[in-house]
Amino acid sequence: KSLVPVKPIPKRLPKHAHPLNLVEEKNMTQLDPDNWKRTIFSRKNENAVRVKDIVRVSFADETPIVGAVMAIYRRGMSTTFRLRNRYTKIGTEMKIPLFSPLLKQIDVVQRSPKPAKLNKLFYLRHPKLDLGDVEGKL
Amino acid sequence: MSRKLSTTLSARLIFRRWQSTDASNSLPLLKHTPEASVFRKNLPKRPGLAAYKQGMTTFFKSDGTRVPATVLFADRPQVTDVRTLEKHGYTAVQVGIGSKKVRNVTKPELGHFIKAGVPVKRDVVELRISPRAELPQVGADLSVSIFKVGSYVDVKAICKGKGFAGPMKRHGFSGSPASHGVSLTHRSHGSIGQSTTPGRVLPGKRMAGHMGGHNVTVTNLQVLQVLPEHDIVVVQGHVPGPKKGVVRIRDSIRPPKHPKEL
Repeated sequence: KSLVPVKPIPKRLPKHAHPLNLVEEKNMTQLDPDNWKRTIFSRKNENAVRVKDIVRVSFADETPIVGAVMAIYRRGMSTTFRLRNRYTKIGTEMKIPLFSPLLKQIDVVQRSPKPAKLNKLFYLRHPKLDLGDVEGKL
Repeated sequence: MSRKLSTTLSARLIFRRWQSTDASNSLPLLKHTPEASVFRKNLPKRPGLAAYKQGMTTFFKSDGTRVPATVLFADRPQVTDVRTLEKHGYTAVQVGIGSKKVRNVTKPELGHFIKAGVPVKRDVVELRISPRAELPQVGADLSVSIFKVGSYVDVKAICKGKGFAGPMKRHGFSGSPASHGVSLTHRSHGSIGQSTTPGRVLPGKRMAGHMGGHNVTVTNLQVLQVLPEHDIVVVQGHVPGPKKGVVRIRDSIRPPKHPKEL
């Protein structure tokens, strides 16, 4: 008695696609139709925002925040960046998810004259090395 | 209270025997039997699906809330077999996912897939279903579109194995201080009982031993995204088991009273 197997069904995925990457790309395209969020921290982009630059982040329903970019966590959909400012001698940091639908715009207020030597500038927490009130200086 | 049953005549007879309490029935079905327990269980009306856990990502809800999400890949799910009350004593749907080369399965396994009329599947899983529900046809195609965005699911899988784990890892014991004269017992459980009374270690005393590698059910995960053209479901939160591990998804048997909006 010969066993005739049923013909296999092809995978319902594009060739060499990983389901996780597919979901992330789909969601990133939906949340970032103008493609600026995916390139703003890209190392290949010449006009990218780098660490130590001072940026203004505009939200949908909150006042804009100004701060120095202290760290960039490049994680695809979960990419976040840390802003630091020193309001009235109190150091304030905020970790902002890049692909949040509430984040509307990031404007570079001042580029750092020299590139930072580190990728994560936690040394800014030291009072002598801090950049001070970046919003007040504008 | 009479419910319309779409099952066979013998299943309906079993159910009536289970329900009856009067002496007119010649053979009352005792409540403490496997046949009666099938009707007592809180089982879903639909079988659900099997899937492979792919990994985790971030999902942003419409109001900007950021939640962790797990991507599950139900790779070409098809019904490979069915379990019925008459033949097996319980109702379940056997679902196959994935793909395997014909030369890598045994002849009995190959025959099983040919009988179902499906290509060879990599993983086959039984999904228990209520005896009052309709069983799908063997060989039927299943799809992730049965799960609606915003609905709740339970996910079952075998959690990651941790091997022989000490009491600090296994039960969260505090251990002993690292210094101050403590010798050789920094991570041990310490005392395991009292003195002359009871004079023995009580059963159930938490000690070191094997941890993980058992079934875990995570309940009430909200379905965030469904991609039927790619067999993908994205659920909120965490799911047991490693990446590429097989998980079983079913409709929540105890969904939350106040479902959250997406």
